[in-house]
Amino acid sequence: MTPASRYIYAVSFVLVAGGFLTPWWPLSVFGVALAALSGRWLFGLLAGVILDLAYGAPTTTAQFLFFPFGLFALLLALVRVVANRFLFSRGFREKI
Amino acid sequence: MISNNRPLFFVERRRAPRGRGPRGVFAVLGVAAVLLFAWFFRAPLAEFLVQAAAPLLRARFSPVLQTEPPHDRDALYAENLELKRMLGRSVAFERVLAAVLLRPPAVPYDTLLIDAGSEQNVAVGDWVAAGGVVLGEVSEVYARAARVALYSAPSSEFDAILRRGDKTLPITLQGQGGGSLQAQVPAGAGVAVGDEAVVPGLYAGVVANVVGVGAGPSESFNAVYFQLPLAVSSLHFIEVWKTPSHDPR
Repeated sequence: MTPASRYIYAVSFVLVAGGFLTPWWPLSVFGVALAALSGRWLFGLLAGVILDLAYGAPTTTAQFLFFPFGLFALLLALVRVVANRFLFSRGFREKI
Repeated sequence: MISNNRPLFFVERRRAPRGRGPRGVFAVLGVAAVLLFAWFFRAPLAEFLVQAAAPLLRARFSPVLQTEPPHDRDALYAENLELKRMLGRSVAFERVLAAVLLRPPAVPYDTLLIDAGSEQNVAVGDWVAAGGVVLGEVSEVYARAARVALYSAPSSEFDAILRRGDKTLPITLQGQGGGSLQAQVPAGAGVAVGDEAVVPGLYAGVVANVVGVGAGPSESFNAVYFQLPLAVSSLHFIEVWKTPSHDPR
C-alpha cells in the first residue's frame, strides 16, 4: 500500500467517523466521496452501507433507495471510471 | 528484421490496455453480494451497530433532563385527566422512558434513535412524546433500540385536528422537514397564529403550533404553517406511549 493510499484511507475514515460522532452528517458524505472518487470504491461502499445501517432508511420519497449512502459511493465510483476513460485518458502520441 | 520494441515508421503507439472483463465481472458480483447481504441482514446488522455504538453515543450526547412544560399546561392537563377519570374514561398511557441516541442534525433524516426496544415493550406504531408534545411514531424496533419517524419528516402525512378555542377543524398535516409542517384549510376558516394542531383521539396531545398563514394553491384554500413546539435537535429524553386499547387509531 502506497503512502498516498494510506493517507487517503485514514482521512476518509476520520471524515466518516467524525461526521457520525459530531452532529454534522455531511462530513460523512465527504469521507465516502473522497474514498469513492480516489478509486477506493470498496472502502467507500462499505462505509456508505455502514452509515445506512446506522442512520436507517430515509423517511422521504427516497425511502425506496434503502442504501442511499452506498449507492452514492457506487455512483461516484462510476463517475471516476467514466471520467478516466473519456476525460483523462491519454491519446495516441505520434511523432514524425 | 524489425524488432518488436522499435516503433514502426517513427509512429509510436501505446500498448493496448489489458482486458478488464474478468475484473469488472468480479467487481459487479462483489458489489451485488455486499448490497444483498446488507439487504437481507439489515435488521440484525443495524441492531448490532446500534448496540455497539450505544455507550459511545450516550457519552457523546450526555443526557440532560428536558425542560418542564409550562405550569398552566400542567394544570389544564391535570384537570382534563381528572374529568375523564370522573366520567369513566381513563387516558393513562403506559409510558416507557428512553434516551435519544441519535437526533437531527446528526441524522440526515427526521428520525430519532432511542435506547428502548422490544425488551422494554416498545412496538411499531407507539407514540413518542416529550414534554406532553407528540413528536412522532415508532417505525422500527430492535431488541434494545428503536427508530422514531417524526411527524415533521418530509413527505409524511397524518390526520390531525386544528383547535382554536372551542372550535375544531380536521386537517391533514404534511411534514416539511426540520420540525415544520403544513396544511391546507378552507379560506375564511379563521386560523390564527398560536392555534394548536392535536392528534385525534381521547388524549388530543399537541403536535404543532401555527406560526403563519399564507396564500394557498387556489383562492378557496389557505396554507397554514406549523412548527413543533420544541427543538428536536435538543432532545435528550423522550417518552414512548403505548397505544391504549380504546384509541381508534
